[in-house]
Amino acid sequence: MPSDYIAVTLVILVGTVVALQFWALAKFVGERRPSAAKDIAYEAGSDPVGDPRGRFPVRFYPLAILFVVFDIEAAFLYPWAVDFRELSCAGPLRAGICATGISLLGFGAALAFLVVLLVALVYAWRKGVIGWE
Amino acid sequence: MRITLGLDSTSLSRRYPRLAILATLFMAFGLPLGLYVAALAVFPLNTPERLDAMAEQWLGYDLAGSPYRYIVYTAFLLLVAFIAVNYTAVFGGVSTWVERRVAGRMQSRIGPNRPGAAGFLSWVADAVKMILKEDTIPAEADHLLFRAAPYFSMVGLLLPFVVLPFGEATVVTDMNVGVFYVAAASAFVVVGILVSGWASNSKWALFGGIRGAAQVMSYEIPAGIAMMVPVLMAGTLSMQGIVRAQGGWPWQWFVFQNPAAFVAFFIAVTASLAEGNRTPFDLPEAESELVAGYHAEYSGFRLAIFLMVEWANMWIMAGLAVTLFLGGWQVPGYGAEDYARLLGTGLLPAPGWFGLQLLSMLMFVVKTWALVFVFIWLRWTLPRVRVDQMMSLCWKYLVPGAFLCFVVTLVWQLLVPPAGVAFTGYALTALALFVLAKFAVATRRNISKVAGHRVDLGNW
Repeated sequence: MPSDYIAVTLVILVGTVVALQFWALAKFVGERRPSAAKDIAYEAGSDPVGDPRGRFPVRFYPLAILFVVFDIEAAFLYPWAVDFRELSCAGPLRAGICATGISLLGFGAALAFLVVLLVALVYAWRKGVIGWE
Repeated sequence: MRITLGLDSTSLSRRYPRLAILATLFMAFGLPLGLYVAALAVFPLNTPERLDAMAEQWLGYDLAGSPYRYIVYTAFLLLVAFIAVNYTAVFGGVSTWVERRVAGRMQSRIGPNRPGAAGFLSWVADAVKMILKEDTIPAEADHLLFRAAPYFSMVGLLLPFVVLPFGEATVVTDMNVGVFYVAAASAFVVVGILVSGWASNSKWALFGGIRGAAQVMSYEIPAGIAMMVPVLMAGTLSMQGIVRAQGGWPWQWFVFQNPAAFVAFFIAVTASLAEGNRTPFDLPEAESELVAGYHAEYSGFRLAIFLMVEWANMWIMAGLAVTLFLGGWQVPGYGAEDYARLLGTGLLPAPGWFGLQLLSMLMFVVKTWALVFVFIWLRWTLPRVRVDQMMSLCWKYLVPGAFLCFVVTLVWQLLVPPAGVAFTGYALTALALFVLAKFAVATRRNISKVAGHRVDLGNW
């Protein structure tokens, strides 16, 4: 229902207003004594060495790709999961139970989809993407 | 400007000893109870259709045909959203106090006990202190992103609240894509973590932010697949629909109705612990390794928002697990027809209906607090895992395990008759009770080894 998303918008709005109200309160009653030393990023008590936004390990990158693959897969499985009983039964359901046998088109297709992803997981595993160190 | 508040025992409460107790009672019981009653009074009317009927009956006004229909509805929902946001903030505060008291008990020390009775008001004092503190932004930081990050976290926390059912009628809005929406919306928190880590321009914050992103993203996969098991069992994505497909008694809960769901429950809880950055998965802010991780550079109210989000997230994690696996708000012995009978056909429901609604909210709140307690217990029991352990636990154990649960549930749903499901329910409930009893006996034995045959609860 579109009216559901009115509530979502309003919760975002109210949450932001509450957070902004903390900000206003802090601005009004909080102390502010800025100094050059206070404005340095913390690094062990001494002055920061080098640029923090340098390189970082590449292993985060394949992990992000793996996440995209599996998250989209989950997004595809959700709608199928809702209707899987009707889709995977060869005949009509009787009291929620499939007596006529499993249809290969509805059930097998989803299983094939899962198997392809499991192959991807095994490949990533063998390539050392997930087993760090 | 200096502001002193008499929240400590040295000033106000020493002069007026009863004040502290009264304030504690108000904050501990009055505030949450007020929020629950307000929610119960307002939430059942949160659809345009019910508002139409109310306006028709009481005011004789045809709201359905009026151009102001959605304005009235929006104003009404604003109230609902306000209650939900307040509940989040109060829970976030109270749970920090509970956590510190429980941690005190577990480590044989006292814990916070100064402001208010049993130190209850310490969370209020903490909030006031955080607001009074200076809000510093490092000179080298990306100012816009640095300021924006806490709001991302806050929104990511509040979005799942929209569909979390507190009772039979108490839910902000019952979306037909509920579980999917939660999976999507809770990912907002990681935006806050990543943005704050990047914007701080500090090495600790950046490491924490990237670790956090890797962790939350990885654990979203097993959590998402494990949460599909109740969807398969209920045949709907709506949170209320999933609760209605379960029953009040433990053997009617999804967790006990199918061995795969039993395993999926533990996978989902472990993954949501990791998604919420709770110990043993608090790598993004590991204080002994990364100072404070992604919020190392934050202070004042911005830090308060991050911490509130972290603690209030426990309610989402626990509430989600209770809704999907542990029967949600279902009251034992009352079914859908009892709610319909007590609601009646009139516009205003009978008083018994409100009683039953309160009972259903109580069921949900008690179960969720019990699970929150387990989360706290885990935090003070388990040491933090290493990064490589965290990664291999997720991808080598939880992801294949969740896939296995998914496939077993498919076969189970198609082939096992209702009698088999009922038998599994009884058998798994008995198994769980047996394990709990064994655990209680072992704990009792361990306590008596060190403390004799007396369990000292006097500290509370």
